[in-house]
Amino acid sequence: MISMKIDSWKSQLRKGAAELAVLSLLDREACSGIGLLDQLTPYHHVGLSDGTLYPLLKRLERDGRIKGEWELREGGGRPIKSYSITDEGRSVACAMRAAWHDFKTDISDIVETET
Amino acid sequence: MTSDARIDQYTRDLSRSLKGLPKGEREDIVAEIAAHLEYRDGEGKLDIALADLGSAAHCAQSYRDALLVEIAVMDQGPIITLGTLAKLATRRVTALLGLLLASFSTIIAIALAFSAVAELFDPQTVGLWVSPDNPLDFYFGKAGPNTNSEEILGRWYVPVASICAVGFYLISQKIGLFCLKLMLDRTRPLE
Repeated sequence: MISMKIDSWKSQLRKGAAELAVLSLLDREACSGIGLLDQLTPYHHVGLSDGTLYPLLKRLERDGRIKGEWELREGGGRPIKSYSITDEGRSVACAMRAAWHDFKTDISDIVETET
Repeated sequence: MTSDARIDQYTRDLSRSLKGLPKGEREDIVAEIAAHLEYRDGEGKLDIALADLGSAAHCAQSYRDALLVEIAVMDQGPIITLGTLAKLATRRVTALLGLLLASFSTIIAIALAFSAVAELFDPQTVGLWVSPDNPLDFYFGKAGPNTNSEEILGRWYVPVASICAVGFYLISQKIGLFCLKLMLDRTRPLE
């Protein structure tokens, strides 16, 4: 029961954090979904997997925060979609990072203060 | 079954499950997932990739619900709002409630608009009828043959009914969009 509640709580935490993670990675360099997944592999607490990243990318693209372009792959095969951050996405990411920093500072202060 | 056949099968199922989305969106999603699976297959990780994506129906639902809601919220049109609520009503209580309330309000709006037009052609029997015994016993529309009620608006019926029709229409829209916006965050990925 507690485990289910924690899972649900984690899911809520991840919703906002995953968007910030993706925008931050794309702010460094344009990347495909595969590339993003590979970069995120060590960060399993972010909770992004093959099944959750692509719908998130689609939403960010629809919101105008990132832009996707189809590119041919070296060595043939199906074209792959590469994403880059837009000016709007960069502004959003910057504001999200500031908010995240303030949030993290406050929560750390509250949670980690010894009683 | 070869890897290519498995990828083709998955993408066909995905395309079928994405029915209802605009064609361009559907093709874009399917092409991206196909490229993803092909890439993972090249790494020898097709089984893991398919397991991570889940069934084609599950994968499609992650896209479909969020996109349908987002499209409807952006469009803000009455037909697409009610249509989207109807599509999601079997799976989401918010959509079901929104659909019922918005439909009810829309039906009242349409009935009032019709009665306003009818008043122009049949002013003797169409109006706002109120019981002399109980002012709360009233209704808009055509009086029945045995009613004791009295019509109280007269020539004002048309503008009053028209304004009420517009009001109910706007309420219907507000309810529909409110429910869609409530669902917007919940339909986003990472549930």
